[in-house]
Amino acid sequence: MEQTLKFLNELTANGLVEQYAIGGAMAAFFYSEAVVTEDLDAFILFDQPASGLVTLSPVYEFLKSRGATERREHLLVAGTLLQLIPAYDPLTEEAVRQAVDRLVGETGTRVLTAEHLIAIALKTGRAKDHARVATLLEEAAIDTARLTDILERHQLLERWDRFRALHP
Amino acid sequence: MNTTLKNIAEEIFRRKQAARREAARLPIEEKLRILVKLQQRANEVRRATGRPEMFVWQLD
Repeated sequence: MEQTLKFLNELTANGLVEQYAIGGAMAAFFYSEAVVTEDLDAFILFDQPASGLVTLSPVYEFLKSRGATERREHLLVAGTLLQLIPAYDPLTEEAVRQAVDRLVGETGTRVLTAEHLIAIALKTGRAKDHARVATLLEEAAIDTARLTDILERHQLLERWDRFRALHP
Repeated sequence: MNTTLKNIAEEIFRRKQAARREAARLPIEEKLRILVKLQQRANEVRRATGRPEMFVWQLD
């Protein structure tokens, strides 16, 4: 996976994206036990062009120039199945901007915080997202004040209350 | 409810929770090795049940 992360870092270094951060199940790996997953989700943040039009094509082309191949909705990059997800709302944009630096082997990367992972999972709201929230609450060191602040600013407190009612 | 059996079950659940928390503290590199094993095991089940296999990562 390190080589995949090096390519992601190159995206930022070459100005193809403003920033990226690992999300989804793989980000949760940094805070909780390993669970099975097939792909590596990378949220990417673009510098907003004057036209307002954003396309993933230059990013795809860059990664293909590094040997990546398309596989269904993923890119197969250096032995890892990569799912690129543009930051699509204020919550995911904030999550990428506030991601934390981590090392995998000797390669630096950026990972969404556990608090943002919980907020995004609550907002997405599928059964597997709720399972991720429950796992993070049980196994990760959560900054409750920070989580509450995120949930409040992104209008997720009602979902949080419903979740806590189901999983006290 | 048999109190002894309930206590045994609660102790099992407590140990499982402790094991999960311990697993959560493993280095990310070790978790990636575990992931590959999980992907391989998942594929054994998928093959046995006629479902498409998932991609198994090739670690560096």
